[in-house]
Amino acid sequence: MAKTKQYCVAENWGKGFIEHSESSRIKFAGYPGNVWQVPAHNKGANLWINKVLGTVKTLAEAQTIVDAEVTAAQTAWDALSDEEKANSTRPADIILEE
Amino acid sequence: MATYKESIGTAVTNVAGDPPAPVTGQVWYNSSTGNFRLRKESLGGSWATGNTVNDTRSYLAGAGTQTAAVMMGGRYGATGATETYNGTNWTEVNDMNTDRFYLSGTGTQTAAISSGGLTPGFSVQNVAETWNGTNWTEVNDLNTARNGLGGSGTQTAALSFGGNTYPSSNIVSVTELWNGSNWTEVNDMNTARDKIGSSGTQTAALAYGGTTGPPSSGLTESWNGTNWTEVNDLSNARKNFGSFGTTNTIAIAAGGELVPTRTNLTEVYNGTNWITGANMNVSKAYQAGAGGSTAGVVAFGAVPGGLTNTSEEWNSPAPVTQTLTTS
Repeated sequence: MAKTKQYCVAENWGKGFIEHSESSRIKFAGYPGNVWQVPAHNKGANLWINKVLGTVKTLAEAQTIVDAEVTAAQTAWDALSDEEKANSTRPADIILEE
Repeated sequence: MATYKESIGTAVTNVAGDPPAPVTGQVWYNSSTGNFRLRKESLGGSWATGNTVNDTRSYLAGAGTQTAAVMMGGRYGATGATETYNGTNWTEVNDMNTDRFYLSGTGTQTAAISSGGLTPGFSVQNVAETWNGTNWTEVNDLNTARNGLGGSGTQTAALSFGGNTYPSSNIVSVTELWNGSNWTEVNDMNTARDKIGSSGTQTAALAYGGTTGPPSSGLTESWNGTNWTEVNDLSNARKNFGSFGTTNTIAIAAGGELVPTRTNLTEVYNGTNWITGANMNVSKAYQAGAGGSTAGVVAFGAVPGGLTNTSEEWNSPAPVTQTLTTS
């Protein structure tokens, strides 16, 4: 099955990183580790990756980056006191889609 | 409850054509076409990244608009800290007097009020402070100390509702009205909830989502100045999300926790139903929101990998004029 999503790593610099004109045409999803998911085989998405100087990653590479960030967040959460845990939720695993 | 004339400032008028500058919610009779016409909000929208905040933290509160916001308090950082946003950049300004997180904030960038919250040592607070654009000043306390509460209105005419009196299982439905000097208990919400979204004014507020106990709720209640009435629920039950809106007929719920995940889902309330809006670019929870019916900003909070210094701006299209039909 042809992939429907592609991944890149790019640092969100703030204003202008994703503009309204882009998010109204392209479906973005940001993940831990500056991993961004955008549609595959999409001219607008490819132009955006070029604009933000994104480094394209395979699904497996992106998953490894996200897993490392989530594991670190889970480890930090596990070390919290019970009182602190009662006011927050343990970060959940994230499974990226093909 | 406010009448149509009180809300709009005029009765339904007879106009040869359309009025030159109708306000949102205004209805008129167009005698040229023989139709009743309505000016209403457009519910589409999109999110764009905004500049990063200075002091990363979560569980804070916000007030103001997309181009003139103030966000205060929070956790895992300088918990009395305050930052303002001018639509482009975030600036650190003077801290609150009492460090707090899970507090409520409402008003404008130059005239806001914060209330309630938890101190870093988990002491529940009834503290209220007003912000004049430069400094925070302690004012009279809430009658019921609580955290995870919602707020609406202005610095001189505010409403606070819900929350928990700590521990977090002690969820309350308490509603208090602020007249600029004192808090007065008024009618409770129908369902006790905390970690809720809130928007509107002192006489037209909306309380949505949160939790009635784990995991999350989609319950929505509308306040008419006297009583809370249950209205349609959020499609996605959530808590600890960003929220904003200027009335009880339009509001935005952005992100939050769909336990156990943090989400980027957005929903827009149109006065009757919650409509699916464009997703945020990043999933996050524990953030603060500020804004009106067509533009807002959500900032700070926590993404699945931990605290974030990001912000996102919401914009929806300008209001549209629609012909009313009987079908």
